[in-house]
Amino acid sequence: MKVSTLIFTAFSAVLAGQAGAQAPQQQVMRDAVTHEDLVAQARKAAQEKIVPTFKPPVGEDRVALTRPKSLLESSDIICFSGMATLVPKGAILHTPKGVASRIGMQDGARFVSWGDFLNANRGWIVASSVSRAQAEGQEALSEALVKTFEKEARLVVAVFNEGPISVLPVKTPAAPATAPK
Amino acid sequence: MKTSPLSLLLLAAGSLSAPVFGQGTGTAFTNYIKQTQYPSGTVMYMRDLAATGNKESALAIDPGGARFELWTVKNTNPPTEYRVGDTFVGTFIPTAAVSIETEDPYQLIPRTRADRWFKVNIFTNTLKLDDPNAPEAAQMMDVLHHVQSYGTTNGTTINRDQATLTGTNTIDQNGTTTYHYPLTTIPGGDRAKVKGEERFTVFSLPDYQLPNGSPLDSRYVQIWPVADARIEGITDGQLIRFKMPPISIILNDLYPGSSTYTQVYKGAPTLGKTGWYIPGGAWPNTKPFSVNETLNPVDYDNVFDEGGDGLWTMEVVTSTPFGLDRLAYVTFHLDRTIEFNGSITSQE
Repeated sequence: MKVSTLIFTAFSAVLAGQAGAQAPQQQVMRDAVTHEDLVAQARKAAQEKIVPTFKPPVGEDRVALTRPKSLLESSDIICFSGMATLVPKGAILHTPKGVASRIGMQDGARFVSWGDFLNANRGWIVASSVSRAQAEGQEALSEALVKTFEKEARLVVAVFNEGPISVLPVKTPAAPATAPK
Repeated sequence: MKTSPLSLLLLAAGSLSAPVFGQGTGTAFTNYIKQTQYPSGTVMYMRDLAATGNKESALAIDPGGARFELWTVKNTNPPTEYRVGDTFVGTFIPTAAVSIETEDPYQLIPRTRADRWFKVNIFTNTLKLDDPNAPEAAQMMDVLHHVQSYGTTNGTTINRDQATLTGTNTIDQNGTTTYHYPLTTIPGGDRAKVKGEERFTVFSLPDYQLPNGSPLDSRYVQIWPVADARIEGITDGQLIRFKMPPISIILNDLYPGSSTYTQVYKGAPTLGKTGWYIPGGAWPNTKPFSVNETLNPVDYDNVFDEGGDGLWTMEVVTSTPFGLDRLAYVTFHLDRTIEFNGSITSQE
């Protein structure tokens, strides 16, 4: 690393405008390569078969097919008093009229984590723990919880282990086919 | 069911404060990890992420697996989102880690130059090769290679949906598979001026739960062009009397993190010769992308005081992790001696 230090020292001198600073003794210098040099190198590499060979792609590009959707577009934004946070779509269980205007981005709001946002807004947001089965739509939310929504004036967000989580609609099992008489 | 350490994702989050996006740490960015369960489709966001570190998934992974996406949201108006990385974890789906080696020790994003090699290493030890009942998706994986030119941009705003898939390969052995590229394969007419990125994505094979398979890991290497320069204001072989003329040093495509300087020395052009710096003729590229600059040194005559009159060479040299490259040079004759012809007489 002596060379690097030397270069840095001398370079600093030049930047500072010290005339006549002497360039350091350095590594081997060469002329910058040109297009022609690289064409020749590429040809040689191809002849020696040292370039990895991949099969031509078939079908659609799976990276494009599986590319995640936009986080902002696949989230609900909760905004208030210059702060904003994201929760998955489907995580908001109850939106009273009084706070409905706080869903969506507001100009100039600064994003903070869910935890910080919740702590700063507990007066009008409540985190409601749901089970894994409820989140996956295997079980319905408890009737008692749903009943509280009637009088709840706060925004209710579903959480699992304190993290906001989407709650899928309850999957209704297919009705058994009735045997023809 | 299993939980997954997310060290890889969170380490990637740490890189967000880097100059890749030209921003520092603090409140400018908020990080999110989005966990999507398969096959249910339930989505959960992890609570309160630090910029770096490890965190276990709070939601146990279903037999169908789970996808973890690391995002950061920048506090601009409107907000800007960046997807930093994603990975899939599943019971029967193998895991893989992609790493890229170059000669540039820069830590945040692997990068190199259009004339240099790079290596792609793909490691896996989770292919179930000895289990005859394991599905095909547990016994092999695909590698997809994409290339994308940055065009005239510096790559910070490219749409990666427009990358070109150039080919695929299959890995069916545990261990490390290495692809050695002597040069970039990004398209471009002038091979020294290619600028863009090459991405390598390991994919699980399609199966009944994931009809398109799922990306297991992905990394890209940035390719920056070879720099060039020219010196304007002095022509080759010019005789310069008394005072050095104003000059312009035109620098193109300076490699990120490089230092470029102009030096002079007495004599004909000689590679590797040490000279004296021209003040105002140097430029450190502190950006994470290649840049162009024009320098206009003035009043640099005293650089020549020690060497005196005679044949001189002025050259532009750039220092990069790949060594020293001479970008341009010009040779001229300097004659600053004032010859006085005449006689002195005295009057008495």
